[in-house]
Amino acid sequence: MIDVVISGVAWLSARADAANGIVATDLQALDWNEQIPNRSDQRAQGLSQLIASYTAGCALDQAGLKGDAARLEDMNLFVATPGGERDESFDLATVEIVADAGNDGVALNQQLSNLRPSLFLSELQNLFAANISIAYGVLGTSITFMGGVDAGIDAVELGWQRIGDGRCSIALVGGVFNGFRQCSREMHMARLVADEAREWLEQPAEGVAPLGAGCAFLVLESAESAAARNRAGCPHLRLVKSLGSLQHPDVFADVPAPDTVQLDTIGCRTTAAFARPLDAWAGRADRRNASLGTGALMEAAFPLALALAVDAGAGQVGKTAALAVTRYGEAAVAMVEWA
Amino acid sequence: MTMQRNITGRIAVTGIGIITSLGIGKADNWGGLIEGKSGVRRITRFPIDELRTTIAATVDDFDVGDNMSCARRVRLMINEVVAEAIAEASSGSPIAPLLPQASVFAAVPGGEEAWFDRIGLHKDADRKQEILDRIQQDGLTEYTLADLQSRYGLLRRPTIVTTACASGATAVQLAVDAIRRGETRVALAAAADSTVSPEGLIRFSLLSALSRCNDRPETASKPFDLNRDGFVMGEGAAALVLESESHAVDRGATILGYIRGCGDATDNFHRTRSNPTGERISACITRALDDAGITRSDVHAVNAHGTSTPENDKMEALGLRLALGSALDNTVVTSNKSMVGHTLSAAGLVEIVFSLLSVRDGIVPPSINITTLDDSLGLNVATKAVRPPDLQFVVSNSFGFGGQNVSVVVERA
Repeated sequence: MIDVVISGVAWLSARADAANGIVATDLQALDWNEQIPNRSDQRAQGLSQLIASYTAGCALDQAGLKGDAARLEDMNLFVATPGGERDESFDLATVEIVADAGNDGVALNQQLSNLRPSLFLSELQNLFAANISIAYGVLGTSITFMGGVDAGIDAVELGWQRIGDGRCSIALVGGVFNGFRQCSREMHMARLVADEAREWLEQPAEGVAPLGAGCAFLVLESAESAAARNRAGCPHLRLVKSLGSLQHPDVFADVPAPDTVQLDTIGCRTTAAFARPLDAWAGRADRRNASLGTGALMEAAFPLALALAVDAGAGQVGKTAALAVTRYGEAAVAMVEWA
Repeated sequence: MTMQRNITGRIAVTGIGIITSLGIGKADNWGGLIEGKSGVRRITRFPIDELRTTIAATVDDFDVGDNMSCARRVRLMINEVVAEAIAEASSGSPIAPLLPQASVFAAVPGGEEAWFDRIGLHKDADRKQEILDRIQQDGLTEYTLADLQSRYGLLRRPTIVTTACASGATAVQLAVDAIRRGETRVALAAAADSTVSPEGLIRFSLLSALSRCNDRPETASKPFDLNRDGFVMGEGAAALVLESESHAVDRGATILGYIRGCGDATDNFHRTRSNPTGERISACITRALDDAGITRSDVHAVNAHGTSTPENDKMEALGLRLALGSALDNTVVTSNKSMVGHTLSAAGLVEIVFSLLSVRDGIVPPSINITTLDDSLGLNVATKAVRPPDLQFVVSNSFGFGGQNVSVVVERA
């Protein structure tokens, strides 16, 4: 197994509020020009896509890879997204207009005929990755993952596996989630009704989750590749693993005990069921749960937990674990170690 | 249990399942395809007023209950094709005991809005709980495969991937990788799509991607024809049971064919158009041949992406010529989309299934609806079903918006 290091990390988040939409406006205030030089590229993207492209660019900058065409050509790209970009105002108008027409099929067709050509198709989730390829020249194997928290785990895990296997030497992995969108909130509400997990929510008003909006990207690289570029001091990514149900007593059996733990548990079903195996594994570790501050970030949750684990452990010696829990109550762990 | 790591050699296919507009299951699909039967028809499922394109290769004879959402159809079709594939893979010895350890890779569309549910949620308080239940069951991608997980006792949750219209091929590529890596002994690859909805049709129309030959649906999809005017949207699903060759032999399974190699190449020229040099398509095909360890002259047939858009067929022909050179002259090319339409997320896997059936029976199905072959493409298109003398390898191409190119080499058992 080839040694994998993390040579670039970038993340951002903002809170979205059910009633008021955007609470923190820092995402809106970002200057896209800093990362996405081409105006036509900016115009082709909606807010969620811009957030993803921007964050990916920051990670490449941090890794010192921006403009390194030879390495970017072979860089693998694994992105987790909840769906394609949509035009929120058009969607909301459609709900009102078609409802007023008695929820009639012909009225729906008439309203949808007002759409204008765009690439804001739900089908094209992979345009998040395409925008990154176009903006920065990332040209290796590109795969987009879907399916909530799981998707973010898959993106990170595949990057780690493929570098470990020698299938590639550099990968850009990450996830994005935009809880500002009305449809995201509705979908999430359905999740919560099913999970009876409202007690988990900071602001359970009206049964709508306090979703976050955010994004994280990491550059994973073989230690050999990083050394060849004189990137010193990068933390090692020792393990990325889906562990199965957290209710299983031996869930952490093969995972070394960490010194600190970065949790993302806002999506989990109950705390009680997880407490025992977590204590047994990481009882003495310093635990942090940033997801309470960022809101639920779904597809971005695991990449963000890993990014925060890297930030939290920087400059230290020891092992930091990033932990995320999927909606099935399964855990995934990533283990970062500073030599 | 210690897994053998980095398995080399061929990946065996031991189970196949398929649904398209030609029918449910291998028999109807393969029979229809060899006959040159079109599955394209006028849409009857919802009002077609205001739509520029009113035809599609729909799956009509499949019971989805009272919920007509695309997501419901996708979920139930996946269940059906996986069941067919698993039943076949059990022919030699039961595969059920192996399934809990299997890795599953599925390609599905995120899907357009389920508008009537969304409107109901806002405006119809009495039905709120009912609609939430429906969204819970069918509106969330992560639930699409929940039935599979419980039915087959999968210990590892399925991975859901998308690379637009190459998604089905990507699912196969990841399944092959997982077996080669030694992560699993048995893998399932599955894909389904049902984007035939007013919004899906309107949005692809706005991209000038769809055929408008509404008057004669069965002739609308005409890849490689001089007068091709766009693709016809199709619905469908397909699934494969995959395992290493030695594993399949050891358990006495019938091997239906092999996935011999996979290749991909990302194109960042444009969000919806290929690099005009054809270099990325060529690189994709060449990488698949390299991964398979075969040469250009081994390519006996190409199951083309062949969408019937002016742009795709031109660029695919250019990429094929660059990759195969003069060997292309001895290769027969066909497009299943002429009959089953473009099944989008499922297309890659649907067409790998047809490629496997092709090498099994030694028949390349026809590419129908060619009245004037576009000679500028320089392709030897199978306008009728043909039986090449020694059909061992078929290359199946899949290309997607967003610069996604994936090619897969299929080999006869």
